[in-house]
Amino acid sequence: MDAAPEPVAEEPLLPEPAPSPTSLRRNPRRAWLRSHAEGMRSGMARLLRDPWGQLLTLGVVAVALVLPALGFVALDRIDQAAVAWRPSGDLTIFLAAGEPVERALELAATLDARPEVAEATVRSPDDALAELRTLSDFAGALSALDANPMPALVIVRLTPDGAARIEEFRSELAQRAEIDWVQVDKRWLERLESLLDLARRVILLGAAVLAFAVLLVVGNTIRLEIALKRDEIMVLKLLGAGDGHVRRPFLYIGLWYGLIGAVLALALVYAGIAAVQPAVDRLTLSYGEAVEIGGLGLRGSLALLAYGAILGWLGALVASARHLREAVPR
Amino acid sequence: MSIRFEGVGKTYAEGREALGGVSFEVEAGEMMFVTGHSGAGKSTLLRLLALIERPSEGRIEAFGHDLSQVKRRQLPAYRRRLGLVFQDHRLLVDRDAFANVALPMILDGYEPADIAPRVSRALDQVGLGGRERALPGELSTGEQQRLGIARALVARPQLLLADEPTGNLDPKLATEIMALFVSLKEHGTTVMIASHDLPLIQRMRKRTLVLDRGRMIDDFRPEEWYGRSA
Repeated sequence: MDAAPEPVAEEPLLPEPAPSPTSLRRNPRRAWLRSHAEGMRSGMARLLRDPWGQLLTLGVVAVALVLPALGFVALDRIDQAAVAWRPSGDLTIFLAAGEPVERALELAATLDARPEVAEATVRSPDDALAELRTLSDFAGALSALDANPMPALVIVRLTPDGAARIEEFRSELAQRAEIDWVQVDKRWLERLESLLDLARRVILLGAAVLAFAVLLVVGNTIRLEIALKRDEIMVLKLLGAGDGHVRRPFLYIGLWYGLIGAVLALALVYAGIAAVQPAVDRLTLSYGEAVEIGGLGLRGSLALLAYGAILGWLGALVASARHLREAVPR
Repeated sequence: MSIRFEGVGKTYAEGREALGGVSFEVEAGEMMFVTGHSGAGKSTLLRLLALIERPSEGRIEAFGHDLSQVKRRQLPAYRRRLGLVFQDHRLLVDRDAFANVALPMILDGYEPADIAPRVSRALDQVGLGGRERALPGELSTGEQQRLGIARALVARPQLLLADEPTGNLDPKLATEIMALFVSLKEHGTTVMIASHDLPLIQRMRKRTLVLDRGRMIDDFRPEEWYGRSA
Protein backbone atom coordinates (compact mmCIF):
# COMPACT_ATOMS: atom_id res chain seq x y z
CA MET A 1 0.00 0.00 0.00
CA ASP A 2 2.96 2.33 0.04
CA ALA A 3 2.77 4.87 -2.69
CA ALA A 4 5.89 4.31 -4.70
CA PRO A 5 7.56 1.21 -6.05
CA GLU A 6 10.66 0.20 -4.12
CA PRO A 7 13.22 1.13 -6.75
CA VAL A 8 12.32 4.79 -6.33
CA ALA A 9 13.12 4.72 -2.63
CA GLU A 10 16.48 3.04 -3.00
CA GLU A 11 19.75 4.16 -4.44
CA PRO A 12 21.95 1.72 -6.31
CA LEU A 13 25.35 1.34 -4.74
CA LEU A 14 27.12 -1.32 -6.70
CA PRO A 15 27.18 -1.72 -10.45
CA GLU A 16 24.70 -4.23 -11.80
CA PRO A 17 26.07 -7.76 -11.94
CA ALA A 18 27.39 -9.07 -15.21
CA PRO A 19 24.61 -10.35 -17.47
CA SER A 20 24.04 -14.01 -16.80
CA PRO A 21 24.29 -16.51 -19.61
CA THR A 22 20.59 -17.29 -19.29
CA SER A 23 19.59 -13.62 -19.87
CA LEU A 24 17.35 -13.34 -16.85
CA ARG A 25 14.72 -10.61 -16.95
CA ARG A 26 14.13 -8.14 -14.15
CA ASN A 27 11.03 -5.97 -13.94
CA PRO A 28 10.97 -3.91 -10.74
CA ARG A 29 7.46 -2.55 -11.35
CA ARG A 30 5.92 -5.98 -11.83
CA ALA A 31 7.92 -7.27 -8.88
CA TRP A 32 6.46 -4.41 -6.82
CA LEU A 33 2.92 -5.35 -7.88
CA ARG A 34 3.61 -9.03 -7.12
CA SER A 35 4.90 -7.99 -3.71
CA HIS A 36 1.59 -6.19 -3.06
CA ALA A 37 -0.42 -9.22 -4.15
CA GLU A 38 1.70 -11.41 -1.88
CA GLY A 39 1.34 -8.93 1.00
CA MET A 40 -2.43 -8.91 0.56
CA ARG A 41 -2.58 -12.71 0.45
CA SER A 42 -0.23 -13.27 3.38
CA GLY A 43 -2.02 -10.61 5.47
CA MET A 44 -5.36 -12.36 4.97
CA ALA A 45 -3.75 -15.77 5.58
CA ARG A 46 -2.43 -14.46 8.89
CA LEU A 47 -5.94 -13.44 9.98
CA LEU A 48 -7.49 -16.69 8.82
CA ARG A 49 -4.86 -18.78 10.59
CA ASP A 50 -6.31 -17.72 13.95
CA PRO A 51 -9.69 -16.05 13.33
CA TRP A 52 -10.88 -16.35 16.95
CA GLY A 53 -7.67 -14.79 18.19
CA GLN A 54 -8.43 -11.72 16.09
CA LEU A 55 -11.93 -11.22 17.46
CA LEU A 56 -10.95 -8.73 20.14
CA THR A 57 -9.17 -6.44 17.69
CA LEU A 58 -11.92 -6.80 15.09
CA GLY A 59 -14.58 -6.19 17.76
CA VAL A 60 -12.90 -2.97 18.92
CA VAL A 61 -12.60 -1.75 15.33
CA ALA A 62 -16.26 -2.61 14.64
CA VAL A 63 -17.56 -0.86 17.78
CA ALA A 64 -15.39 2.18 17.10
CA LEU A 65 -16.94 2.45 13.64
CA VAL A 66 -20.53 1.52 14.45
CA LEU A 67 -21.14 4.20 17.10
CA PRO A 68 -20.42 7.23 14.90
CA ALA A 69 -22.12 5.49 11.94
CA LEU A 70 -25.35 5.07 13.93
CA GLY A 71 -25.08 8.65 15.15
CA PHE A 72 -24.81 9.93 11.60
CA VAL A 73 -27.76 7.75 10.45
CA ALA A 74 -29.92 9.21 13.25
CA LEU A 75 -28.87 12.80 12.45
CA ASP A 76 -29.52 12.24 8.78
CA ARG A 77 -33.06 11.00 9.50
CA ILE A 78 -33.85 13.94 11.81
CA ASP A 79 -32.43 16.35 9.26
CA GLN A 80 -34.59 14.86 6.50
CA ALA A 81 -37.67 14.93 8.70
CA ALA A 82 -37.00 18.58 9.55
CA VAL A 83 -36.84 19.39 5.84
CA ALA A 84 -40.21 17.68 5.33
CA TRP A 85 -41.75 19.71 8.16
CA ARG A 86 -40.21 22.97 6.96
CA PRO A 87 -42.92 25.69 6.94
CA SER A 88 -43.87 27.27 3.64
CA GLY A 89 -43.42 30.84 4.87
CA ASP A 90 -41.26 32.93 7.14
CA LEU A 91 -44.06 34.57 9.17
CA THR A 92 -47.63 33.52 9.97
CA ILE A 93 -49.97 36.37 10.89
CA PHE A 94 -52.99 35.37 13.00
CA LEU A 95 -55.77 37.91 12.62
CA ALA A 96 -57.82 38.82 15.68
CA ALA A 97 -60.90 36.69 16.37
CA GLY A 98 -63.90 37.87 14.41
CA GLU A 99 -61.89 39.65 11.73
CA PRO A 100 -63.40 38.68 8.36
CA VAL A 101 -61.38 37.00 5.67
CA GLU A 102 -61.66 40.19 3.60
CA ARG A 103 -59.40 41.96 6.17
CA ALA A 104 -56.89 39.21 5.64
CA LEU A 105 -57.07 39.70 1.86
CA GLU A 106 -56.56 43.46 2.27
CA LEU A 107 -53.59 42.91 4.58
CA ALA A 108 -52.08 40.41 2.14
CA ALA A 109 -52.44 42.89 -0.72
CA THR A 110 -50.76 45.62 1.38
CA LEU A 111 -47.93 43.37 2.40
CA ASP A 112 -47.44 42.05 -1.14
CA ALA A 113 -46.68 45.59 -2.26
CA ARG A 114 -43.82 45.98 0.22
CA PRO A 115 -40.28 45.37 -1.05
CA GLU A 116 -39.29 43.03 1.81
CA VAL A 117 -42.16 40.65 1.03
CA ALA A 118 -41.78 38.06 -1.70
CA GLU A 119 -45.27 36.62 -1.34
CA ALA A 120 -48.22 36.92 1.01
CA THR A 121 -51.03 34.34 0.86
CA VAL A 122 -54.28 34.06 2.77
CA ARG A 123 -55.66 31.01 4.48
CA SER A 124 -59.30 31.41 5.38
CA PRO A 125 -60.75 30.12 8.69
CA ASP A 126 -62.59 27.40 6.71
CA ASP A 127 -59.37 26.18 5.09
CA ALA A 128 -57.60 26.19 8.48
CA LEU A 129 -60.39 24.19 10.08
CA ALA A 130 -60.38 21.67 7.24
CA GLU A 131 -56.61 21.23 7.60
CA LEU A 132 -56.92 20.75 11.36
CA ARG A 133 -59.53 18.05 10.77
CA THR A 134 -57.19 16.21 8.39
CA LEU A 135 -54.06 16.41 10.57
CA SER A 136 -55.51 15.60 13.96
CA ASP A 137 -57.71 13.12 15.73
CA PHE A 138 -60.17 15.83 16.78
CA ALA A 139 -62.47 15.61 13.74
CA GLY A 140 -65.42 14.47 15.90
CA ALA A 141 -64.92 17.18 18.49
CA LEU A 142 -64.49 19.88 15.84
CA SER A 143 -67.79 18.97 14.15
CA ALA A 144 -69.55 19.51 17.46
CA LEU A 145 -68.57 23.20 17.48
CA ASP A 146 -71.23 25.79 16.69
CA ALA A 147 -68.84 28.23 15.05
CA ASN A 148 -65.42 28.08 13.40
CA PRO A 149 -62.85 29.12 16.09
CA MET A 150 -59.98 29.39 13.61
CA PRO A 151 -58.71 32.88 12.73
CA ALA A 152 -57.86 33.98 9.21
CA LEU A 153 -54.14 33.66 8.48
CA VAL A 154 -51.73 35.52 6.26
CA ILE A 155 -48.61 33.53 5.45
CA VAL A 156 -45.71 35.73 4.44
CA ARG A 157 -42.58 34.67 2.59
CA LEU A 158 -39.86 37.32 2.84
CA THR A 159 -37.19 38.35 0.40
CA PRO A 160 -33.59 37.79 1.62
CA ASP A 161 -33.46 41.47 2.67
CA GLY A 162 -36.76 41.10 4.51
CA ALA A 163 -35.60 37.90 6.22
CA ALA A 164 -32.54 39.76 7.50
CA ARG A 165 -34.89 42.27 9.25
CA ILE A 166 -37.52 39.73 10.29
CA GLU A 167 -37.69 40.82 13.96
CA GLU A 168 -38.19 44.46 13.05
CA PHE A 169 -40.92 43.48 10.57
CA ARG A 170 -42.64 41.21 13.12
CA SER A 171 -42.72 44.00 15.76
CA GLU A 172 -44.23 46.45 13.27
CA LEU A 173 -46.99 44.03 12.28
CA ALA A 174 -47.76 43.04 15.87
CA GLN A 175 -48.77 46.65 16.62
CA ARG A 176 -51.63 46.59 14.10
CA ALA A 177 -55.06 46.34 15.70
CA GLU A 178 -56.46 43.66 13.38
CA ILE A 179 -53.53 41.34 14.13
CA ASP A 180 -53.64 39.09 17.18
CA TRP A 181 -50.23 37.41 16.91
CA VAL A 182 -47.28 37.14 14.52
CA GLN A 183 -45.32 33.88 14.55
CA VAL A 184 -41.78 33.58 13.21
CA ASP A 185 -42.17 30.13 11.62
CA LYS A 186 -38.55 29.22 11.14
CA ARG A 187 -37.32 29.90 14.64
CA TRP A 188 -37.97 26.38 15.93
CA LEU A 189 -36.32 25.02 12.82
CA GLU A 190 -33.28 27.17 13.40
CA ARG A 191 -33.11 25.89 16.95
CA LEU A 192 -33.38 22.32 15.72
CA GLU A 193 -30.65 22.93 13.17
CA SER A 194 -28.43 24.38 15.89
CA LEU A 195 -29.04 21.30 18.00
CA LEU A 196 -28.31 19.04 15.03
CA ASP A 197 -25.11 20.97 14.36
CA LEU A 198 -24.07 20.53 17.98
CA ALA A 199 -24.88 16.80 17.81
CA ARG A 200 -22.91 16.52 14.56
CA ARG A 201 -19.85 18.10 16.20
CA VAL A 202 -20.14 15.84 19.25
CA ILE A 203 -20.38 12.77 16.99
CA LEU A 204 -17.38 13.95 14.96
CA LEU A 205 -15.39 14.44 18.14
CA GLY A 206 -16.43 10.99 19.36
CA ALA A 207 -15.54 9.51 15.96
CA ALA A 208 -12.09 11.11 16.19
CA VAL A 209 -11.51 9.68 19.67
CA LEU A 210 -12.69 6.25 18.53
CA ALA A 211 -10.52 6.50 15.39
CA PHE A 212 -7.54 7.12 17.65
CA ALA A 213 -8.52 4.03 19.64
CA VAL A 214 -8.56 2.01 16.39
CA LEU A 215 -5.07 3.30 15.53
CA LEU A 216 -3.83 2.22 18.96
CA VAL A 217 -5.47 -1.21 18.88
CA VAL A 218 -4.37 -2.04 15.33
CA GLY A 219 -0.93 -0.54 16.02
CA ASN A 220 -0.51 -2.71 19.10
CA THR A 221 -1.60 -5.82 17.19
CA ILE A 222 0.93 -5.03 14.46
CA ARG A 223 3.64 -4.45 17.07
CA LEU A 224 3.02 -7.98 18.37
CA GLU A 225 3.05 -9.36 14.82
CA ILE A 226 6.39 -7.69 14.20
CA ALA A 227 7.79 -9.14 17.43
CA LEU A 228 6.64 -12.61 16.34
CA LYS A 229 8.20 -12.19 12.89
CA ARG A 230 11.42 -10.59 14.10
CA ASP A 231 13.68 -13.40 12.87
CA GLU A 232 12.02 -13.43 9.45
CA ILE A 233 12.36 -9.65 9.19
CA MET A 234 16.08 -9.89 9.99
CA VAL A 235 16.58 -12.51 7.28
CA LEU A 236 14.67 -10.45 4.73
CA LYS A 237 16.75 -7.37 5.53
CA LEU A 238 19.97 -9.37 5.28
CA LEU A 239 18.96 -10.63 1.87
CA GLY A 240 18.32 -7.11 0.63
CA ALA A 241 14.62 -6.51 1.21
CA GLY A 242 13.79 -2.82 1.25
CA ASP A 243 11.73 -1.20 3.98
CA GLY A 244 8.67 -1.22 1.73
CA HIS A 245 8.90 -4.93 1.07
CA VAL A 246 9.31 -5.76 4.76
CA ARG A 247 6.51 -3.41 5.82
CA ARG A 248 3.97 -4.43 3.19
CA PRO A 249 2.51 -7.61 4.79
CA PHE A 250 1.98 -5.72 8.05
CA LEU A 251 0.22 -2.87 6.26
CA TYR A 252 -2.12 -5.36 4.63
CA ILE A 253 -2.79 -7.04 7.98
CA GLY A 254 -3.81 -3.59 9.27
CA LEU A 255 -5.91 -2.95 6.19
CA TRP A 256 -7.73 -6.28 6.57
CA TYR A 257 -8.38 -5.57 10.25
CA GLY A 258 -9.91 -2.21 9.32
CA LEU A 259 -11.92 -3.58 6.39
CA ILE A 260 -13.28 -6.65 8.19
CA GLY A 261 -14.02 -4.48 11.25
CA ALA A 262 -15.95 -2.12 8.95
CA VAL A 263 -17.94 -5.02 7.46
CA LEU A 264 -18.88 -6.08 11.01
CA ALA A 265 -19.78 -2.47 11.83
CA LEU A 266 -21.98 -2.30 8.74
CA ALA A 267 -23.78 -5.46 9.81
CA LEU A 268 -24.25 -4.00 13.31
CA VAL A 269 -25.64 -0.74 11.87
CA TYR A 270 -28.29 -2.61 9.90
CA ALA A 271 -29.04 -4.95 12.82
CA GLY A 272 -29.42 -1.88 15.06
CA ILE A 273 -31.75 -0.18 12.59
CA ALA A 274 -33.85 -3.35 12.26
CA ALA A 275 -34.12 -3.49 16.06
CA VAL A 276 -35.15 0.18 16.41
CA GLN A 277 -37.45 0.50 13.39
CA PRO A 278 -40.61 -1.00 15.04
CA ALA A 279 -40.37 1.49 17.91
CA VAL A 280 -39.86 4.36 15.44
CA ASP A 281 -42.88 3.15 13.46
CA ARG A 282 -45.06 3.17 16.60
CA LEU A 283 -43.90 6.68 17.49
CA THR A 284 -44.15 8.26 14.05
CA LEU A 285 -47.46 6.61 13.13
CA SER A 286 -49.00 8.25 16.20
CA TYR A 287 -48.18 11.55 14.43
CA GLY A 288 -49.84 10.31 11.27
CA GLU A 289 -46.76 9.54 9.16
CA ALA A 290 -44.37 6.56 9.19
CA VAL A 291 -40.64 7.34 9.06
CA GLU A 292 -38.31 4.82 7.45
CA ILE A 293 -34.89 4.98 9.13
CA GLY A 294 -33.26 3.40 6.12
CA GLY A 295 -29.50 2.82 6.41
CA LEU A 296 -26.22 4.21 5.20
CA GLY A 297 -27.04 3.65 1.54
CA LEU A 298 -24.49 2.44 -1.00
CA ARG A 299 -22.27 5.51 -0.80
CA GLY A 300 -22.38 5.62 2.98
CA SER A 301 -21.62 1.89 3.22
CA LEU A 302 -18.67 2.20 0.85
CA ALA A 303 -17.44 5.22 2.78
CA LEU A 304 -17.61 3.25 6.04
CA LEU A 305 -15.64 0.37 4.48
CA ALA A 306 -13.02 2.77 3.09
CA TYR A 307 -12.82 4.61 6.43
CA GLY A 308 -12.22 1.34 8.29
CA ALA A 309 -9.62 0.15 5.79
CA ILE A 310 -7.76 3.48 5.91
CA LEU A 311 -7.78 3.53 9.72
CA GLY A 312 -6.42 -0.03 9.89
CA TRP A 313 -3.78 0.74 7.30
CA LEU A 314 -2.74 3.93 9.14
CA GLY A 315 -2.48 2.09 12.47
CA ALA A 316 -0.25 -0.50 10.84
CA LEU A 317 1.82 2.19 9.11
CA VAL A 318 2.53 4.04 12.34
CA ALA A 319 3.42 0.84 14.24
CA SER A 320 5.52 -0.66 11.46
CA ALA A 321 7.42 2.58 10.82
CA ARG A 322 8.50 2.59 14.44
CA HIS A 323 9.09 -1.08 15.19
CA LEU A 324 10.60 -2.21 11.87
CA ARG A 325 13.27 0.46 12.18
CA GLU A 326 14.28 -1.16 15.45
CA ALA A 327 14.60 -4.60 13.81
CA VAL A 328 18.23 -4.33 12.73
CA PRO A 329 19.95 -7.54 11.57
CA ARG A 330 22.42 -8.97 14.09
CA MET B 1 40.34 -4.73 -7.02
CA SER B 2 37.16 -5.79 -5.28
CA ILE B 3 37.68 -5.31 -1.53
CA ARG B 4 40.14 -3.34 0.56
CA PHE B 5 40.49 -3.30 4.36
CA GLU B 6 42.69 -0.50 5.74
CA GLY B 7 43.50 -0.73 9.44
CA VAL B 8 40.03 -2.00 10.24
CA GLY B 9 39.09 -2.57 13.86
CA LYS B 10 35.91 -3.45 15.65
CA THR B 11 35.43 -2.94 19.36
CA TYR B 12 32.07 -3.75 20.93
CA ALA B 13 30.32 -1.53 23.45
CA GLU B 14 31.47 -3.65 26.38
CA GLY B 15 35.07 -2.97 25.35
CA ARG B 16 35.81 -6.34 23.72
CA GLU B 17 38.03 -5.93 20.67
CA ALA B 18 36.90 -8.35 17.94
CA LEU B 19 39.23 -7.05 15.21
CA GLY B 20 42.14 -4.65 15.20
CA GLY B 21 44.39 -3.17 12.52
CA VAL B 22 43.32 -5.56 9.76
CA SER B 23 44.49 -4.57 6.28
CA PHE B 24 44.31 -6.58 3.06
CA GLU B 25 43.02 -6.42 -0.50
CA VAL B 26 41.02 -8.90 -2.54
CA GLU B 27 40.86 -8.93 -6.31
CA ALA B 28 37.53 -9.20 -8.09
CA GLY B 29 36.79 -12.85 -8.83
CA GLU B 30 39.22 -14.08 -6.19
CA MET B 31 38.37 -16.88 -3.78
CA MET B 32 39.85 -16.80 -0.32
CA PHE B 33 39.53 -18.31 3.10
CA VAL B 34 39.61 -16.56 6.46
CA THR B 35 40.65 -18.89 9.22
CA GLY B 36 41.53 -18.85 12.89
CA HIS B 37 40.34 -20.23 16.20
CA SER B 38 36.91 -19.49 17.62
CA GLY B 39 36.75 -15.80 18.58
CA ALA B 40 39.57 -14.90 16.18
CA GLY B 41 37.32 -12.43 14.36
CA LYS B 42 36.44 -14.41 11.20
CA SER B 43 32.69 -13.86 11.48
CA THR B 44 33.16 -10.22 12.48
CA LEU B 45 35.18 -9.62 9.33
CA LEU B 46 32.39 -11.02 7.16
CA ARG B 47 29.74 -9.12 9.11
CA LEU B 48 31.60 -5.87 8.49
CA LEU B 49 31.57 -6.62 4.76
CA ALA B 50 27.86 -7.42 4.85
CA LEU B 51 27.30 -4.14 6.74
CA ILE B 52 25.69 -6.01 9.60
CA GLU B 53 28.27 -4.22 11.73
CA ARG B 54 30.17 -0.98 11.17
CA PRO B 55 33.90 -0.78 11.94
CA SER B 56 35.09 1.17 14.98
CA GLU B 57 38.20 2.25 13.09
CA GLY B 58 39.76 1.99 9.66
CA ARG B 59 38.18 1.95 6.24
CA ILE B 60 36.52 -0.77 4.18
CA GLU B 61 36.12 -0.39 0.46
CA ALA B 62 34.00 -2.72 -1.64
CA PHE B 63 33.74 -2.37 -5.41
CA GLY B 64 35.15 1.15 -5.26
CA HIS B 65 32.77 2.38 -2.53
CA ASP B 66 33.71 3.36 1.00
CA LEU B 67 31.30 1.24 3.04
CA SER B 68 31.24 3.77 5.86
CA GLN B 69 29.43 6.11 3.46
CA VAL B 70 26.67 3.64 2.63
CA LYS B 71 23.38 5.15 3.74
CA ARG B 72 20.51 3.23 5.26
CA ARG B 73 18.44 3.48 2.11
CA GLN B 74 21.33 2.10 0.05
CA LEU B 75 21.70 -1.02 2.20
CA PRO B 76 19.05 -3.18 0.46
CA ALA B 77 20.58 -2.60 -2.98
CA TYR B 78 24.06 -3.36 -1.61
CA ARG B 79 22.95 -6.55 0.13
CA ARG B 80 21.16 -7.80 -2.98
CA ARG B 81 24.56 -7.93 -4.68
CA LEU B 82 25.85 -10.22 -1.90
CA GLY B 83 25.38 -13.91 -1.30
CA LEU B 84 25.38 -14.68 2.42
CA VAL B 85 25.81 -18.08 4.03
CA PHE B 86 25.29 -18.03 7.78
CA GLN B 87 26.49 -20.47 10.43
CA ASP B 88 22.95 -20.65 11.79
CA HIS B 89 21.45 -20.86 8.25
CA ARG B 90 18.84 -18.10 8.84
CA LEU B 91 16.10 -19.80 6.87
CA LEU B 92 12.45 -18.76 6.85
CA VAL B 93 10.91 -21.59 8.83
CA ASP B 94 7.37 -21.23 7.47
CA ARG B 95 8.41 -21.24 3.81
CA ASP B 96 9.45 -24.32 1.90
CA ALA B 97 12.87 -24.96 0.39
CA PHE B 98 11.88 -23.55 -3.00
CA ALA B 99 10.54 -20.31 -1.49
CA ASN B 100 13.63 -19.88 0.66
CA VAL B 101 15.99 -20.23 -2.27
CA ALA B 102 13.84 -18.06 -4.53
CA LEU B 103 13.86 -15.17 -2.04
CA PRO B 104 16.98 -13.30 -3.27
CA MET B 105 15.70 -13.41 -6.85
CA ILE B 106 12.21 -12.29 -5.82
CA LEU B 107 13.72 -9.38 -3.88
CA ASP B 108 15.81 -8.47 -6.90
CA GLY B 109 12.71 -8.28 -9.12
CA TYR B 110 13.27 -11.28 -11.37
CA GLU B 111 10.36 -12.70 -13.34
CA PRO B 112 8.81 -15.86 -11.80
CA ALA B 113 9.34 -17.74 -15.07
CA ASP B 114 13.07 -17.09 -14.76
CA ILE B 115 13.23 -17.78 -11.05
CA ALA B 116 11.81 -21.32 -11.10
CA PRO B 117 14.49 -23.00 -13.26
CA ARG B 118 17.29 -21.18 -11.44
CA VAL B 119 15.97 -22.26 -8.05
CA SER B 120 15.54 -25.87 -9.17
CA ARG B 121 19.08 -25.87 -10.52
CA ALA B 122 20.52 -24.38 -7.33
CA LEU B 123 18.70 -27.02 -5.26
CA ASP B 124 20.04 -29.74 -7.56
CA GLN B 125 23.56 -28.35 -7.23
CA VAL B 126 23.49 -28.66 -3.44
CA GLY B 127 21.91 -32.12 -3.56
CA LEU B 128 18.41 -31.05 -2.57
CA GLY B 129 16.68 -31.79 -5.88
CA GLY B 130 13.21 -33.15 -5.20
CA ARG B 131 12.99 -31.50 -1.75
CA GLU B 132 11.48 -28.27 -3.06
CA ARG B 133 8.35 -28.52 -0.91
CA ALA B 134 10.12 -29.48 2.32
CA LEU B 135 10.00 -26.97 5.16
CA PRO B 136 13.34 -26.20 6.83
CA GLY B 137 12.14 -28.01 9.96
CA GLU B 138 11.78 -31.19 7.93
CA LEU B 139 15.41 -31.07 6.80
CA SER B 140 18.51 -32.27 8.65
CA THR B 141 21.06 -29.71 9.84
CA GLY B 142 23.31 -30.54 6.90
CA GLU B 143 20.42 -30.15 4.47
CA GLN B 144 19.49 -26.83 6.04
CA GLN B 145 23.07 -25.70 5.56
CA ARG B 146 22.94 -26.71 1.90
CA LEU B 147 19.62 -24.88 1.53
CA GLY B 148 21.30 -21.73 2.87
CA ILE B 149 24.12 -22.22 0.37
CA ALA B 150 21.67 -22.66 -2.53
CA ARG B 151 19.98 -19.40 -1.49
CA ALA B 152 23.34 -17.61 -1.50
CA LEU B 153 24.28 -18.94 -4.94
CA VAL B 154 21.01 -18.63 -6.81
CA ALA B 155 21.20 -14.96 -7.87
CA ARG B 156 24.87 -15.27 -8.81
CA PRO B 157 26.10 -12.57 -6.40
CA GLN B 158 29.06 -10.29 -6.92
CA LEU B 159 30.43 -11.12 -3.49
CA LEU B 160 29.78 -14.37 -1.66
CA LEU B 161 30.40 -14.28 2.10
CA ALA B 162 30.16 -17.72 3.67
CA ASP B 163 30.54 -18.23 7.41
CA GLU B 164 31.50 -21.86 8.16
CA PRO B 165 29.54 -23.15 5.16
CA THR B 166 30.66 -26.73 5.54
CA GLY B 167 30.47 -27.01 9.32
CA ASN B 168 27.68 -29.59 9.23
CA LEU B 169 28.64 -31.41 6.03
CA ASP B 170 30.61 -34.61 5.52
CA PRO B 171 33.95 -34.23 3.69
CA LYS B 172 32.56 -35.43 0.34
CA LEU B 173 29.65 -32.93 0.41
CA ALA B 174 31.97 -30.21 1.68
CA THR B 175 34.23 -30.74 -1.33
CA GLU B 176 31.22 -30.61 -3.68
CA ILE B 177 30.09 -27.34 -2.12
CA MET B 178 33.60 -25.94 -2.50
CA ALA B 179 33.50 -26.96 -6.18
CA LEU B 180 30.31 -24.92 -6.51
CA PHE B 181 32.02 -21.92 -4.95
CA VAL B 182 34.94 -22.35 -7.36
CA SER B 183 32.53 -22.42 -10.29
CA LEU B 184 30.89 -19.25 -8.97
CA LYS B 185 34.32 -17.59 -8.70
CA GLU B 186 35.00 -18.58 -12.30
CA HIS B 187 31.89 -16.65 -13.30
CA GLY B 188 33.39 -13.53 -11.67
CA THR B 189 32.05 -13.70 -8.11
CA THR B 190 34.47 -12.76 -5.32
CA VAL B 191 34.25 -15.50 -2.68
CA MET B 192 35.27 -15.12 0.98
CA ILE B 193 34.85 -18.12 3.25
CA ALA B 194 35.32 -18.06 7.00
CA SER B 195 36.24 -21.54 8.15
CA HIS B 196 38.26 -23.33 10.77
CA ASP B 197 38.21 -26.55 8.74
CA LEU B 198 41.98 -26.67 8.09
CA PRO B 199 41.97 -29.94 6.13
CA LEU B 200 39.43 -28.46 3.74
CA ILE B 201 41.42 -25.23 3.39
CA GLN B 202 44.56 -27.22 2.70
CA ARG B 203 42.79 -29.30 0.07
CA MET B 204 41.48 -26.19 -1.67
CA ARG B 205 44.87 -24.43 -1.75
CA LYS B 206 43.45 -20.92 -2.03
CA ARG B 207 44.59 -17.65 -0.56
CA THR B 208 44.05 -17.71 3.20
CA LEU B 209 43.98 -14.97 5.83
CA VAL B 210 44.81 -16.19 9.31
CA LEU B 211 43.38 -14.29 12.25
CA ASP B 212 44.27 -14.66 15.90
CA ARG B 213 42.41 -12.73 18.60
CA GLY B 214 41.34 -10.09 16.09
CA ARG B 215 44.76 -9.58 14.49
CA MET B 216 45.72 -10.73 11.03
CA ILE B 217 48.82 -12.88 11.53
CA ASP B 218 49.23 -14.38 8.07
CA ASP B 219 48.04 -13.95 4.48
CA PHE B 220 49.34 -16.64 2.22
CA ARG B 221 48.57 -17.20 -1.40
CA PRO B 222 47.90 -20.33 -3.49
CA GLU B 223 51.46 -20.57 -4.75
CA GLU B 224 52.74 -20.59 -1.18
CA TRP B 225 50.65 -23.66 -0.37
CA TYR B 226 53.07 -25.80 -2.31
CA GLY B 227 55.85 -24.76 0.02
CA ARG B 228 53.85 -25.59 3.15
CA SER B 229 53.10 -28.93 4.67
CA ALA B 230 49.55 -30.11 4.14
